[in-house]
Amino acid sequence: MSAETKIAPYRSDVRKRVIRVALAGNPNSGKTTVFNALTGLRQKIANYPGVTIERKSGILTGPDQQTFEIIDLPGIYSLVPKSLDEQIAVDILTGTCPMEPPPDLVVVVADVTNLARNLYLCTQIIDIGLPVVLALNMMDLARKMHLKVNVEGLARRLNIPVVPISAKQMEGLDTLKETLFMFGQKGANGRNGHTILKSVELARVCEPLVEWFQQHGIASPAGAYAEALRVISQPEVLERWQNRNGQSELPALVEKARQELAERGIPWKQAEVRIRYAVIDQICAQNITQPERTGGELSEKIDRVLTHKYFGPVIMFLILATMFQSIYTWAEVPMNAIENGLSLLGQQIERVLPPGPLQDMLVNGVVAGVGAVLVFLPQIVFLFFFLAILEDTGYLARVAFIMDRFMAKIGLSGQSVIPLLSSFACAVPGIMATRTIQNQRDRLITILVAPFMSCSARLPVYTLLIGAFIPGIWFGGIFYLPGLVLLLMYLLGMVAAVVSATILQKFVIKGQTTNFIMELPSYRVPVWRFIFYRVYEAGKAFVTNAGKIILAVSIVLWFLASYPKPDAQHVQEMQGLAKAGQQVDNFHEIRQSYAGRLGQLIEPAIRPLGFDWKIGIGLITSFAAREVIVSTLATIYNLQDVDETSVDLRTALQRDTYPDTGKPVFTPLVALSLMVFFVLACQCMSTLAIVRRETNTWRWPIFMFFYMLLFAYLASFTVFQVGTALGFGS
Amino acid sequence: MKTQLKSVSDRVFSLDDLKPGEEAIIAGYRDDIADELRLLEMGLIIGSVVRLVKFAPFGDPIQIRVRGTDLSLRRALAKSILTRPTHLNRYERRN
Repeated sequence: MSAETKIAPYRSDVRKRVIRVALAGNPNSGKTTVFNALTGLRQKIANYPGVTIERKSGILTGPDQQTFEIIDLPGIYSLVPKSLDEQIAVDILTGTCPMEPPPDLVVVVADVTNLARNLYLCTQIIDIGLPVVLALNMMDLARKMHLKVNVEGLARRLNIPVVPISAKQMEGLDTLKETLFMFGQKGANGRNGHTILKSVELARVCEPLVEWFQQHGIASPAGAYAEALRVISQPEVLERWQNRNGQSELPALVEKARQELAERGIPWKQAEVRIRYAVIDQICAQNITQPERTGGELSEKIDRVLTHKYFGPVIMFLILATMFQSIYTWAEVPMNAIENGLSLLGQQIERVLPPGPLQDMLVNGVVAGVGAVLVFLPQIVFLFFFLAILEDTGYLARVAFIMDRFMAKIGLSGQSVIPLLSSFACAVPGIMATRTIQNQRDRLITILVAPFMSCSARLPVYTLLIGAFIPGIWFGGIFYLPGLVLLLMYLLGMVAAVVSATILQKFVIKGQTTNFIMELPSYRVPVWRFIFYRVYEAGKAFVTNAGKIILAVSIVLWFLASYPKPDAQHVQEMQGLAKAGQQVDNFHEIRQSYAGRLGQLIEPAIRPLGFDWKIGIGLITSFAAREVIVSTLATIYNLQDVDETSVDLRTALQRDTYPDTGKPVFTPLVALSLMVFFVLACQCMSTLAIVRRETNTWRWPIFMFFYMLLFAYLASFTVFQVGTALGFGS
Repeated sequence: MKTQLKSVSDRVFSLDDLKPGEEAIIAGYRDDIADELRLLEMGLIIGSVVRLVKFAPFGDPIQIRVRGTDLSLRRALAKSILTRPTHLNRYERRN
């Protein structure tokens, strides 16, 4: 187990006890906002070992330096989990998680404007027997809606501390903290296993079962009632008890309770839900005064425009176009600044250090590697800035609502739209954006297909090859061949994403397709502080996790391209030959580097795609980032200060010939095959590094690399071989 | 219970048969429903008032409001949720 996955020890020693407080609540209850407000930026994000689920925790220091570890559990609706992240939250709360003991205290964060559903979870957690504090969140919204809550009445009825708060407005948080501190000093808050379920008449059907459970190890009435409901509603629970206790009267008692429910028209599967809601509706009726009109009105008015049949999609298109346009143009400025700054730094190092391996490594390995990491930051920062705004205003859910129709066709949901669109700029922030996808299966599939979207790093490759090899022919004065080819490359990526999403669902990531039940939260004004938290968190996660891998791979790639150095004698010989005007091997230096040797090693494999060993080198070095192939080709052809639009480089490519046959290395068909390869192959260590970070395992990045490589190889092979057979080979 | 509902299916509608803005009362689920428990936990229990707020611009999914919360459901799922009209007692409805 690595250091980052180490979990606090169970009920740590008495001397310096850390009190572990879990935040539980429905998705959209504002749980994470409460978490941020309680812990500030003192957060630690790790992963539960072996799964993609994040473990977010932070420290709150009480009076007398008492430490509270606040753990932000994944959002849940009930203690019956539907997905892996829910499973972990439920397992922790019920004490069945092997990786983490149950918390000392649970703060249930509830959206007060939707109290009934939030209380469903809250009462379930209370019944486990853990100490619970109920934080009634979004009180500011409740006031606006003229919703009156009897906080004391709720506290008395539920027999737990209830604290009204508004995390976004930083309201009531001091009281919440004090409640936690008080718990720290006094310990348990005096619950005595009292159950609220008894208060409805319907719950009587449970009583024989409650008695049985009390005789069989569940002392508290609350626990016994909860177990009675579970055993009636869930066949698995009954089975578990039967396995444990062998022959008993339990099945008969369950059967009897189910029959009584059936007589009242209640299917037994619904027993728990119906009885709990009966109690909750009663509690709500007594403690909440709902106004005649609900608060959804303003949101509904806004939705009349934003999800309007015709305006909705148009406005969405405009918003997203503006957003991506801004990311693109805004990010360019800092990206250039980073590049310039690092090249200055490189020059500085060159000036200070004597030429030699150390200087070379620092400049071309380390500084270039740092550059490869930092260059992503602007895009990540801007994307997460917009993403956080979209999410916190509630518009992100509307994008999913509008686009779900199309995504459903490929087995995903509308929540995958933004991550996939972001991947046209760069797959790294796109993959990070998949965190907004609730369903873990959908999230994994989206991560795996996102790199097929043609990102901005592929554009220089397309530009160079199209510029050099695709003739500028107009068809009927409308279609321009180079433009068409470029469009084709983008389309090919999208088609590949759709095809592989389908294949992955069928063969690799099985599991139920989502039914996509999504909340459409009310529109809200975002709070800047929390937007900046999110941006900061995303940037930090990228640099500290993926950054390390990218830096290491950069140095390895630099080494491969630079070593071994040709021996001095050979260089002199060559120079002598050149002076004498004889034919020399221009490619000698690169040929005998490790990268060059690798290029020659893979040449037999890539020949069927139309590539020679020099292109092979480009394929290897462009693993650092796709656009690196342009500078690699420039180096190979001994050109200085060129980019993808330089005529020199195009000419060099067009003129290069095979020494044995004299045929050109590059033809339009080779260029096409190479572009197809770049559309489909995962030629990007940063993508693989971020996939490693987001999935918390090497399994998925390795899988991704090979399946995309296979895809790319087959497609390029087909293009080149079919093209050659049809006579386009020269 | 569920079979009973089927036999009186002339009185119950699928949730996605409602018109935008129309309210109804949840009457039950069809046997083939997926995610029944999740829907129940979210408060779509028999007797709850549900309102079909609107259809998404491209026709699917739908937006419903139940217990003050707006949810997006796909029509395939909504088809398995049965409702009865609010303005008529279930024994009085005529076509």
